[in-house]
Amino acid sequence: MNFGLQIDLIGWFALVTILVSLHGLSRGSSYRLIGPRRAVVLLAITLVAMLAAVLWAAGDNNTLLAAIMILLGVAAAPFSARRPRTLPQRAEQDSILNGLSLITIGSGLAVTLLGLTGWFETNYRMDNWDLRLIAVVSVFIGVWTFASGLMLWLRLNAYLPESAPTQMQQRVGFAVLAIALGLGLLAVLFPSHARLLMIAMVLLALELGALSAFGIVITRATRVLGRHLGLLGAAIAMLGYVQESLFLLAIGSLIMAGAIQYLYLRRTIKTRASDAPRDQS
Amino acid sequence: MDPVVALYTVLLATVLGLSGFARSDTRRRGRGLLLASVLAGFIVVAAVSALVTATTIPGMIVTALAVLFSAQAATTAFALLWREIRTETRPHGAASKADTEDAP
Repeated sequence: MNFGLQIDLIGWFALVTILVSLHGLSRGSSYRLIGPRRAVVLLAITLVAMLAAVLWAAGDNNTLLAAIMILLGVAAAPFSARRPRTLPQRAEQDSILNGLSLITIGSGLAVTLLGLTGWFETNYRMDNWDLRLIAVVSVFIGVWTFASGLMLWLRLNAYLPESAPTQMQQRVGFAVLAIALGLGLLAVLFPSHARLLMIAMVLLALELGALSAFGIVITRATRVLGRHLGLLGAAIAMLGYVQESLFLLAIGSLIMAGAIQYLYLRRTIKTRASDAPRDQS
Repeated sequence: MDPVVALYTVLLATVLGLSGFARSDTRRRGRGLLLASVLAGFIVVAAVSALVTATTIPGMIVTALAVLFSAQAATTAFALLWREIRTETRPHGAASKADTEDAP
Protein backbone atom coordinates (compact mmCIF):
# COMPACT_ATOMS: atom_id res chain seq x y z
CA MET A 1 0.00 0.00 0.00
CA ASN A 2 2.54 2.52 -1.12
CA PHE A 3 0.46 5.53 -2.07
CA GLY A 4 1.84 8.26 0.11
CA LEU A 5 2.78 10.27 -2.96
CA GLN A 6 -0.91 10.53 -3.89
CA ILE A 7 -1.72 12.09 -0.53
CA ASP A 8 1.43 14.18 -0.26
CA LEU A 9 0.95 15.57 -3.75
CA ILE A 10 -0.46 18.74 -2.23
CA GLY A 11 0.03 17.61 1.37
CA TRP A 12 2.57 20.27 2.30
CA PHE A 13 0.41 23.10 0.93
CA ALA A 14 -2.55 21.56 2.76
CA LEU A 15 -0.54 21.45 5.99
CA VAL A 16 0.28 25.16 5.71
CA THR A 17 -3.38 26.10 5.13
CA ILE A 18 -4.42 23.87 8.05
CA LEU A 19 -1.96 25.60 10.38
CA VAL A 20 -3.17 29.03 9.22
CA SER A 21 -6.78 27.94 9.80
CA LEU A 22 -5.98 26.59 13.26
CA HIS A 23 -4.28 29.87 14.07
CA GLY A 24 -7.41 31.76 13.03
CA LEU A 25 -9.71 29.46 14.98
CA SER A 26 -7.83 29.14 18.24
CA ARG A 27 -6.50 32.64 18.84
CA GLY A 28 -8.15 35.55 20.59
CA SER A 29 -9.61 38.22 18.36
CA SER A 30 -6.53 40.49 18.48
CA TYR A 31 -4.02 37.96 17.13
CA ARG A 32 -5.89 36.40 14.24
CA LEU A 33 -4.45 36.10 10.76
CA ILE A 34 -7.90 35.32 9.38
CA GLY A 35 -11.37 35.28 10.91
CA PRO A 36 -12.93 32.06 12.22
CA ARG A 37 -15.50 31.74 9.44
CA ARG A 38 -12.88 32.12 6.74
CA ALA A 39 -10.71 29.63 8.61
CA VAL A 40 -13.48 27.00 8.52
CA VAL A 41 -14.04 27.64 4.81
CA LEU A 42 -10.28 27.32 4.22
CA LEU A 43 -10.22 24.01 6.10
CA ALA A 44 -13.13 22.69 4.03
CA ILE A 45 -11.46 23.79 0.77
CA THR A 46 -8.24 22.07 1.89
CA LEU A 47 -10.08 18.81 2.57
CA VAL A 48 -11.85 18.94 -0.80
CA ALA A 49 -8.56 19.73 -2.58
CA MET A 50 -6.85 16.79 -0.85
CA LEU A 51 -9.66 14.44 -1.89
CA ALA A 52 -9.57 15.78 -5.46
CA ALA A 53 -5.78 15.28 -5.61
CA VAL A 54 -6.05 11.68 -4.40
CA LEU A 55 -8.88 10.89 -6.84
CA TRP A 56 -7.04 12.60 -9.70
CA ALA A 57 -3.84 10.67 -9.00
CA ALA A 58 -5.77 7.40 -8.87
CA GLY A 59 -7.04 7.71 -12.44
CA ASP A 60 -10.04 5.46 -13.13
CA ASN A 61 -9.35 3.01 -10.33
CA ASN A 62 -12.49 2.94 -8.11
CA THR A 63 -12.81 6.71 -8.47
CA LEU A 64 -16.53 6.62 -9.14
CA LEU A 65 -17.18 4.36 -6.16
CA ALA A 66 -15.12 6.65 -3.92
CA ALA A 67 -17.00 9.74 -5.12
CA ILE A 68 -20.38 8.06 -4.54
CA MET A 69 -19.39 6.98 -1.03
CA ILE A 70 -18.16 10.49 -0.17
CA LEU A 71 -21.43 11.99 -1.40
CA LEU A 72 -23.47 9.43 0.57
CA GLY A 73 -21.48 10.24 3.71
CA VAL A 74 -21.97 13.98 3.21
CA ALA A 75 -25.69 13.42 2.65
CA ALA A 76 -25.96 11.43 5.90
CA ALA A 77 -24.21 14.12 7.96
CA PRO A 78 -27.20 16.45 8.54
CA PHE A 79 -28.94 13.68 10.49
CA SER A 80 -26.06 13.53 12.98
CA ALA A 81 -25.48 17.29 13.19
CA ARG A 82 -29.08 18.39 13.52
CA ARG A 83 -29.96 21.06 16.03
CA PRO A 84 -32.87 20.82 18.47
CA ARG A 85 -35.73 23.17 17.63
CA THR A 86 -36.44 24.48 21.11
CA LEU A 87 -33.23 25.20 22.83
CA PRO A 88 -31.88 26.93 25.82
CA GLN A 89 -28.06 27.11 25.96
CA ARG A 90 -27.75 23.74 27.69
CA ALA A 91 -29.62 21.93 24.91
CA GLU A 92 -27.22 23.46 22.39
CA GLN A 93 -24.24 22.04 24.32
CA ASP A 94 -25.95 18.65 24.53
CA SER A 95 -26.57 18.64 20.80
CA ILE A 96 -22.86 19.37 20.16
CA LEU A 97 -21.92 16.51 22.51
CA ASN A 98 -24.44 14.36 20.67
CA GLY A 99 -22.80 15.21 17.36
CA LEU A 100 -19.31 14.60 18.76
CA SER A 101 -20.32 11.15 19.98
CA LEU A 102 -21.71 10.36 16.50
CA ILE A 103 -18.40 11.57 15.02
CA THR A 104 -16.49 9.15 17.25
CA ILE A 105 -18.86 6.34 16.19
CA GLY A 106 -18.25 7.01 12.48
CA SER A 107 -14.51 7.58 12.85
CA GLY A 108 -14.16 4.50 15.06
CA LEU A 109 -15.88 2.35 12.44
CA ALA A 110 -13.68 3.83 9.69
CA VAL A 111 -10.48 3.15 11.66
CA THR A 112 -11.61 -0.43 12.38
CA LEU A 113 -12.36 -1.10 8.73
CA LEU A 114 -9.07 0.43 7.58
CA GLY A 115 -7.20 -1.64 10.18
CA LEU A 116 -8.89 -4.80 8.92
CA THR A 117 -8.02 -3.84 5.34
CA GLY A 118 -4.42 -3.29 6.35
CA TRP A 119 -4.39 -6.71 8.03
CA PHE A 120 -5.80 -8.66 5.09
CA GLU A 121 -4.34 -6.69 2.15
CA THR A 122 -0.78 -6.79 3.42
CA ASN A 123 0.53 -10.29 3.70
CA TYR A 124 0.31 -10.60 7.47
CA ARG A 125 2.16 -13.91 7.59
CA MET A 126 5.31 -12.28 6.25
CA ASP A 127 7.98 -10.78 8.44
CA ASN A 128 6.53 -7.26 8.55
CA TRP A 129 5.69 -7.10 12.25
CA ASP A 130 5.31 -3.29 12.25
CA LEU A 131 2.40 -3.45 9.78
CA ARG A 132 0.78 -6.24 11.79
CA LEU A 133 1.17 -4.24 14.98
CA ILE A 134 -0.38 -1.15 13.38
CA ALA A 135 -3.30 -3.14 11.98
CA VAL A 136 -4.05 -4.75 15.36
CA VAL A 137 -3.74 -1.46 17.25
CA SER A 138 -5.97 0.28 14.68
CA VAL A 139 -8.66 -2.37 15.05
CA PHE A 140 -8.45 -2.09 18.85
CA ILE A 141 -8.62 1.73 18.84
CA GLY A 142 -11.43 1.73 16.30
CA VAL A 143 -13.63 -0.76 18.15
CA TRP A 144 -12.99 0.90 21.53
CA THR A 145 -13.80 4.34 20.11
CA PHE A 146 -16.90 3.05 18.33
CA ALA A 147 -18.22 1.38 21.48
CA SER A 148 -17.49 4.40 23.69
CA GLY A 149 -19.15 6.78 21.22
CA LEU A 150 -22.19 4.54 20.94
CA MET A 151 -22.57 4.25 24.72
CA LEU A 152 -22.17 8.01 25.16
CA TRP A 153 -24.77 8.66 22.47
CA LEU A 154 -27.19 6.22 24.14
CA ARG A 155 -26.62 7.88 27.53
CA LEU A 156 -26.97 11.41 26.15
CA ASN A 157 -30.29 10.47 24.57
CA ALA A 158 -31.49 8.79 27.79
CA TYR A 159 -31.73 5.31 26.24
CA LEU A 160 -29.55 4.03 29.08
CA PRO A 161 -30.06 4.63 32.79
CA GLU A 162 -27.83 6.94 34.82
CA SER A 163 -24.97 5.17 36.50
CA ALA A 164 -22.55 6.20 39.21
CA PRO A 165 -18.94 5.10 38.68
CA THR A 166 -17.52 2.75 41.27
CA GLN A 167 -13.97 1.74 42.15
CA MET A 168 -14.73 -1.81 41.04
CA GLN A 169 -15.78 -0.61 37.56
CA GLN A 170 -12.43 1.13 37.15
CA ARG A 171 -10.52 -1.96 38.23
CA VAL A 172 -12.49 -4.15 35.84
CA GLY A 173 -11.84 -1.60 33.08
CA PHE A 174 -8.08 -1.70 33.69
CA ALA A 175 -8.14 -5.51 33.76
CA VAL A 176 -10.07 -5.69 30.47
CA LEU A 177 -7.67 -3.17 28.89
CA ALA A 178 -4.65 -5.21 30.00
CA ILE A 179 -6.12 -8.50 28.72
CA ALA A 180 -7.13 -6.95 25.37
CA LEU A 181 -3.65 -5.46 24.87
CA GLY A 182 -2.10 -8.83 25.78
CA LEU A 183 -4.27 -10.63 23.23
CA GLY A 184 -3.37 -8.03 20.59
CA LEU A 185 0.32 -8.52 21.30
CA LEU A 186 -0.09 -12.30 20.95
CA ALA A 187 -1.90 -11.78 17.62
CA VAL A 188 1.09 -9.76 16.38
CA LEU A 189 3.62 -12.30 17.61
CA PHE A 190 1.75 -15.40 16.39
CA PRO A 191 -0.05 -14.43 13.17
CA SER A 192 -1.04 -18.04 12.43
CA HIS A 193 -3.43 -17.96 15.43
CA ALA A 194 -4.36 -14.34 14.96
CA ARG A 195 -7.98 -14.75 13.86
CA LEU A 196 -9.25 -16.18 17.16
CA LEU A 197 -7.09 -13.81 19.21
CA MET A 198 -8.36 -10.78 17.30
CA ILE A 199 -11.99 -11.82 17.70
CA ALA A 200 -11.46 -12.09 21.47
CA MET A 201 -9.66 -8.73 21.49
CA VAL A 202 -12.52 -7.08 19.58
CA LEU A 203 -15.06 -8.45 22.07
CA LEU A 204 -13.00 -7.13 24.96
CA ALA A 205 -12.60 -3.75 23.23
CA LEU A 206 -16.41 -3.56 22.91
CA GLU A 207 -16.75 -4.27 26.61
CA LEU A 208 -14.03 -1.75 27.42
CA GLY A 209 -15.88 0.91 25.43
CA ALA A 210 -19.08 0.16 27.30
CA LEU A 211 -17.26 0.29 30.63
CA SER A 212 -15.40 3.51 29.88
CA ALA A 213 -18.60 5.31 28.86
CA PHE A 214 -20.77 3.72 31.54
CA GLY A 215 -18.35 4.15 34.41
CA ILE A 216 -18.40 7.95 34.35
CA VAL A 217 -20.81 10.64 35.35
CA ILE A 218 -22.24 12.15 32.19
CA THR A 219 -20.72 15.57 32.91
CA ARG A 220 -17.32 14.00 32.20
CA ALA A 221 -18.40 12.90 28.73
CA THR A 222 -16.16 15.51 27.08
CA ARG A 223 -13.15 13.93 28.78
CA VAL A 224 -13.98 10.54 27.23
CA LEU A 225 -14.51 12.21 23.84
CA GLY A 226 -11.17 14.05 24.14
CA ARG A 227 -9.35 10.82 24.98
CA HIS A 228 -10.85 9.00 22.00
CA LEU A 229 -10.15 11.85 19.62
CA GLY A 230 -6.50 11.60 20.73
CA LEU A 231 -6.60 7.85 20.05
CA LEU A 232 -8.07 8.56 16.61
CA GLY A 233 -5.15 10.92 16.02
CA ALA A 234 -2.75 8.11 16.91
CA ALA A 235 -4.58 5.80 14.50
CA ILE A 236 -4.35 8.40 11.71
CA ALA A 237 -0.62 8.80 12.34
CA MET A 238 -0.20 5.02 12.14
CA LEU A 239 -2.19 4.96 8.89
CA GLY A 240 0.20 7.63 7.64
CA TYR A 241 3.11 5.31 8.46
CA VAL A 242 1.48 2.42 6.58
CA GLN A 243 0.52 4.59 3.60
CA GLU A 244 3.91 6.36 3.66
CA SER A 245 2.29 9.78 3.95
CA LEU A 246 4.00 12.48 5.99
CA PHE A 247 0.81 14.56 5.78
CA LEU A 248 -1.22 11.95 7.66
CA LEU A 249 1.60 11.55 10.20
CA ALA A 250 1.57 15.31 10.84
CA ILE A 251 -2.23 15.57 11.03
CA GLY A 252 -2.47 12.61 13.42
CA SER A 253 0.19 14.17 15.64
CA LEU A 254 -1.62 17.53 15.63
CA ILE A 255 -4.82 15.79 16.74
CA MET A 256 -2.93 14.03 19.53
CA ALA A 257 -1.46 17.38 20.60
CA GLY A 258 -4.94 18.96 20.61
CA ALA A 259 -6.35 16.13 22.73
CA ILE A 260 -3.43 16.21 25.17
CA GLN A 261 -3.77 19.96 25.49
CA TYR A 262 -7.53 19.71 26.00
CA LEU A 263 -7.22 17.09 28.72
CA TYR A 264 -4.27 18.83 30.38
CA LEU A 265 -5.94 22.23 30.24
CA ARG A 266 -9.07 20.83 31.83
CA ARG A 267 -6.99 19.51 34.68
CA THR A 268 -5.13 22.76 35.24
CA ILE A 269 -8.34 24.79 35.26
CA LYS A 270 -9.88 22.31 37.67
CA THR A 271 -6.79 22.54 39.86
CA ARG A 272 -6.91 26.31 39.75
CA ALA A 273 -10.59 26.26 40.69
CA SER A 274 -9.94 23.96 43.64
CA ASP A 275 -6.97 26.06 44.69
CA ALA A 276 -8.93 29.32 44.61
CA PRO A 277 -11.01 28.76 47.82
CA ARG A 278 -7.86 27.60 49.60
CA ASP A 279 -6.08 30.80 48.58
CA GLN A 280 -8.97 32.91 49.79
CA SER A 281 -9.02 31.18 53.17
CA MET B 1 8.65 4.43 5.40
CA ASP B 2 11.74 4.84 7.51
CA PRO B 3 10.60 4.55 11.16
CA VAL B 4 13.12 7.21 12.24
CA VAL B 5 11.68 9.73 9.77
CA ALA B 6 8.18 8.84 10.96
CA LEU B 7 9.14 9.29 14.62
CA TYR B 8 10.81 12.64 13.92
CA THR B 9 7.71 13.84 12.04
CA VAL B 10 5.40 12.74 14.84
CA LEU B 11 7.60 14.39 17.46
CA LEU B 12 7.90 17.67 15.59
CA ALA B 13 4.19 17.88 14.74
CA THR B 14 3.17 17.02 18.31
CA VAL B 15 5.46 19.67 19.79
CA LEU B 16 4.27 22.20 17.21
CA GLY B 17 0.66 21.37 18.02
CA LEU B 18 1.22 21.52 21.79
CA SER B 19 2.94 24.90 21.60
CA GLY B 20 0.27 26.23 19.23
CA PHE B 21 -2.67 25.03 21.28
CA ALA B 22 -0.98 26.22 24.49
CA ARG B 23 -1.16 29.80 23.22
CA SER B 24 -4.78 29.49 22.20
CA ASP B 25 -7.64 31.32 23.83
CA THR B 26 -8.21 29.42 27.09
CA ARG B 27 -11.82 30.57 27.37
CA ARG B 28 -12.75 28.36 24.41
CA ARG B 29 -11.81 24.91 25.63
CA GLY B 30 -14.71 23.26 23.82
CA ARG B 31 -13.50 24.59 20.51
CA GLY B 32 -10.24 22.63 20.93
CA LEU B 33 -12.30 19.44 20.98
CA LEU B 34 -14.20 20.51 17.87
CA LEU B 35 -10.95 21.41 16.11
CA ALA B 36 -9.53 17.99 16.91
CA SER B 37 -12.67 16.36 15.53
CA VAL B 38 -12.43 18.44 12.33
CA LEU B 39 -8.80 17.40 11.91
CA ALA B 40 -9.83 13.78 12.55
CA GLY B 41 -12.13 14.20 9.56
CA PHE B 42 -9.03 14.12 7.37
CA ILE B 43 -9.10 10.36 7.86
CA VAL B 44 -11.40 10.40 4.85
CA VAL B 45 -8.30 11.14 2.74
CA ALA B 46 -6.62 7.99 4.04
CA ALA B 47 -9.80 5.98 3.45
CA VAL B 48 -10.13 7.22 -0.14
CA SER B 49 -6.47 6.40 -0.75
CA ALA B 50 -7.05 2.89 0.54
CA LEU B 51 -10.16 2.52 -1.65
CA VAL B 52 -8.52 3.61 -4.90
CA THR B 53 -5.67 1.17 -4.35
CA ALA B 54 -7.79 -1.77 -3.16
CA THR B 55 -7.21 -4.82 -5.31
CA THR B 56 -9.75 -7.36 -4.02
CA ILE B 57 -13.55 -7.21 -3.91
CA PRO B 58 -13.77 -7.62 -0.08
CA GLY B 59 -11.11 -4.94 0.27
CA MET B 60 -13.11 -2.61 -1.96
CA ILE B 61 -16.30 -3.19 0.04
CA VAL B 62 -14.63 -2.66 3.42
CA THR B 63 -12.74 0.48 2.35
CA ALA B 64 -15.85 1.88 0.62
CA LEU B 65 -17.70 1.58 3.94
CA ALA B 66 -14.75 3.27 5.66
CA VAL B 67 -15.02 6.16 3.17
CA LEU B 68 -18.76 6.45 3.85
CA PHE B 69 -18.38 6.60 7.64
CA SER B 70 -15.37 8.90 7.59
CA ALA B 71 -17.04 11.30 5.14
CA GLN B 72 -20.09 11.40 7.40
CA ALA B 73 -17.91 12.09 10.44
CA ALA B 74 -15.90 14.79 8.66
CA THR B 75 -19.00 16.62 7.43
CA THR B 76 -20.60 16.42 10.87
CA ALA B 77 -17.45 17.88 12.44
CA PHE B 78 -17.45 20.80 10.00
CA ALA B 79 -21.15 21.42 10.60
CA LEU B 80 -20.68 21.45 14.39
CA LEU B 81 -17.70 23.80 14.22
CA TRP B 82 -19.58 26.15 11.90
CA ARG B 83 -22.56 26.14 14.25
CA GLU B 84 -20.35 26.79 17.27
CA ILE B 85 -18.79 29.80 15.56
CA ARG B 86 -22.19 31.16 14.59
CA THR B 87 -23.59 30.77 18.11
CA GLU B 88 -20.46 32.39 19.50
CA THR B 89 -20.79 35.46 17.34
CA ARG B 90 -24.58 35.75 17.60
CA PRO B 91 -24.90 36.57 21.35
CA HIS B 92 -22.21 39.25 21.03
CA GLY B 93 -24.20 40.97 18.30
CA ALA B 94 -27.43 40.59 20.23
CA ALA B 95 -25.78 41.89 23.36
CA SER B 96 -24.28 44.92 21.67
CA LYS B 97 -27.62 45.65 20.04
CA ALA B 98 -29.36 45.42 23.42
CA ASP B 99 -26.71 47.68 24.92
CA THR B 100 -27.26 50.34 22.30
CA GLU B 101 -31.03 50.08 22.73
CA ASP B 102 -30.74 50.44 26.53
CA ALA B 103 -28.38 53.37 26.22
CA PRO B 104 -29.98 56.78 26.81
